[in-house]
Amino acid sequence: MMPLIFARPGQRVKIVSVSGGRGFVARLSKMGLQIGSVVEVVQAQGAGPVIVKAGNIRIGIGIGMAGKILVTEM
Amino acid sequence: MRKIKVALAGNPNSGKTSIFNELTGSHQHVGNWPGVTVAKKEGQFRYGDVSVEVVDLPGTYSLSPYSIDERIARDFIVKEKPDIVVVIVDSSNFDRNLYFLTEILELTGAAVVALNMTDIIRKKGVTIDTQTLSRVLKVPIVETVGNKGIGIEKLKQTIVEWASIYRKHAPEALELDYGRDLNKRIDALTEQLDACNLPFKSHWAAVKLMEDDRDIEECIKKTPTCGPVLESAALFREEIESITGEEPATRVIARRYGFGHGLIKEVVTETRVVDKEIELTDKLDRFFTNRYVGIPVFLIIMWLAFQLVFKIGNPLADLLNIFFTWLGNITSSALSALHSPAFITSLLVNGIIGGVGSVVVFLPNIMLLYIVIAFLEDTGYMARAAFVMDRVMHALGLHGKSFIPMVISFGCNIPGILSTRTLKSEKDRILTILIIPLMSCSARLPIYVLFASAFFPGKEGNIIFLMYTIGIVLAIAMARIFKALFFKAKTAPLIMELPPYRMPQFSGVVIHMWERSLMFLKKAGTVILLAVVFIWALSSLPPGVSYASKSSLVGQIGVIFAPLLKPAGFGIWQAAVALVFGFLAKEIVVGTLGTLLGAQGAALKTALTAYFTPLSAFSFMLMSLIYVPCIAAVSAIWKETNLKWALFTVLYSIVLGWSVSVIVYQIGSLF
Repeated sequence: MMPLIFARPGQRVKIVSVSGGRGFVARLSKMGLQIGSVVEVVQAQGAGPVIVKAGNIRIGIGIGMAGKILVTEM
Repeated sequence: MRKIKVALAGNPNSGKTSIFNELTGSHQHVGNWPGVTVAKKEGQFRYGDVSVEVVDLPGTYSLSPYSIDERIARDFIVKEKPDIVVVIVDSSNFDRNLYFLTEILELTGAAVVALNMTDIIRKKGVTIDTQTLSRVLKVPIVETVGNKGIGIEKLKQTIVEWASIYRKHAPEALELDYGRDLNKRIDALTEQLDACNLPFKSHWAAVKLMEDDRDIEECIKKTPTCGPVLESAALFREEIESITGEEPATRVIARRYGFGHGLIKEVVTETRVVDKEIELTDKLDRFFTNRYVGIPVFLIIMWLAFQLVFKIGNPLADLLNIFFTWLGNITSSALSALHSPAFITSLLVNGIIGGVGSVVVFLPNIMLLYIVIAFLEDTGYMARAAFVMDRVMHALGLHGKSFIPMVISFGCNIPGILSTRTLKSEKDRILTILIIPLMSCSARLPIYVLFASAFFPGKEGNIIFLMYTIGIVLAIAMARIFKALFFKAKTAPLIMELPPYRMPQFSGVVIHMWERSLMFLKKAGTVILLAVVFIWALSSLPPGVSYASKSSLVGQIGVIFAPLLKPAGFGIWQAAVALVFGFLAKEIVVGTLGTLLGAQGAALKTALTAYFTPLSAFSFMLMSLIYVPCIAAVSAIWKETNLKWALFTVLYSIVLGWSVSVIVYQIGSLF
């Protein structure tokens, strides 16, 4: 398990937990990223912001938030 | 004639704006970054004998408001109660769009679904069984391809028909199965809420209470007899949390998604086809958002953009110049042939043609600037730029999304100020608004172009790029200071959708550019025209004074302010007058100089060299960049924040502008 900021481009990861405020978890879900979702990491800047892809949706996640999402590699 | 009111709702990038344009026939911008539809847009169409008023709501992901945009959308649906909510569903992102649709349908069955972008899924070999979908959701569904106008007539017909069916016999709204534990409590709350006479469905409100929706709580609090409901809701939430170990909101969301996933299994058939568009977007993203090349590429794109604006715009501006000089000459000789009084000739030639002309000649530059901005927005690059800049913005204490309003402000500060509404945190938003006036808007471009080409020939592009850069650097510096002084809270998190890269529709870019350029022309024909006539009058009075001389009224005004500007290198009264009137609109700075120096175009450039050195010209450009936003921008700031922040912006920008020009001029003079 690792924070999303350490993921590498091209990796497929599963979202295990999200430790943001209550609004943040709900927000992510509504944008299409839920706990348990498997997403592809399109871009990761190395301890920086990431872009993940779930289906057709690409979501950019800022540096602060990407640190709060824990994922496991598939 | 019957009238009905319709609201368009949907996720960002679901093609809502295209559908709105197709329905109402109005020409609007189809943008590509999340939340482009900020202002409330209205239009209408007629179908048979029914007149339909359409409101385009901002794109939202849910009905639990997260940003101002989402609050606007929800409040409209909940409080204004449109006859029909048209939910635009992007079928290529069916799962997430279905979530939003479900939320709406829980609130009201007075909805019509526009299943949009069906051409894209068809290309991928996906089909959606709309009949079954419609039966389960209890609302009509119309397949559409908004940007090609397919399905629009059917949509109009369905809206009108469903509105009259619904009025006579409203089917029950959708109620989801949230699982035994939640259902039981939602039902109990619904019963209590039924007694409260709320302006919306009790079951929906009960679900929202389980999601701990603060707005609904506030709303219920206002209803006197309803206090106990909130207590039970709080208790129920705790119970759910202890039974399931999950936050109730998370559970509600998961259940709602669960419903959607079940439905998808039932109605979607998929045959796997490789999608070239997706592959292309991924490849482009790997390049444009790369850790190392992302920012340099962004800077290069911006630099190229400004080169383009100048290199292509300048020869065209020269042509306009020749036209206005010719117009001035023939007007003047025609009038003298008619023996008209000298003051009329002066008003027309010096005042109107000279003043307005010297502003309008910059139209080509401004059109090109807007083309560039529209192009970057519509291709989808602008959203990437925000992402790429996130690390930098984060380090500066700004939100990654602040970046988009800042770029838009290069066109005009006012839409930039309005577009900060996509920022969730009020503090991030005010902070962004405060620094927006430091973004060089297109009204300042004429000043730069005039001075750069008069004093830095051959280096105009670089000097202008430098002005934009200085603006950005100052904005960053001020952001740090303001943040430390007024907004100590942490920056809200950046999560933004990145739409697929698209080749912009040529017509979209052109319409967008033309609309905004037209605003510039209108301004030239109204505010600027009035201002130049006013300045001309002040320059010609008191009677008998020689035109625009120091002893004229305008000269006397300038003489009062000029000493203040002396340390900055341009202590001449003409410059002072230009800056004072520039508060009305920054274009007027050039127009005033044109009027006061009695020249325009190439002649104005020559005239300026008598009053400015390259150093003082540079200092004057800096002053024009920083000192005070125009009056329209100040009123936009006032509307979006409050009077205190608007006055603060005026004050700080004047002080900063003066200080920077003085420091640059004084240090520059040492060499």
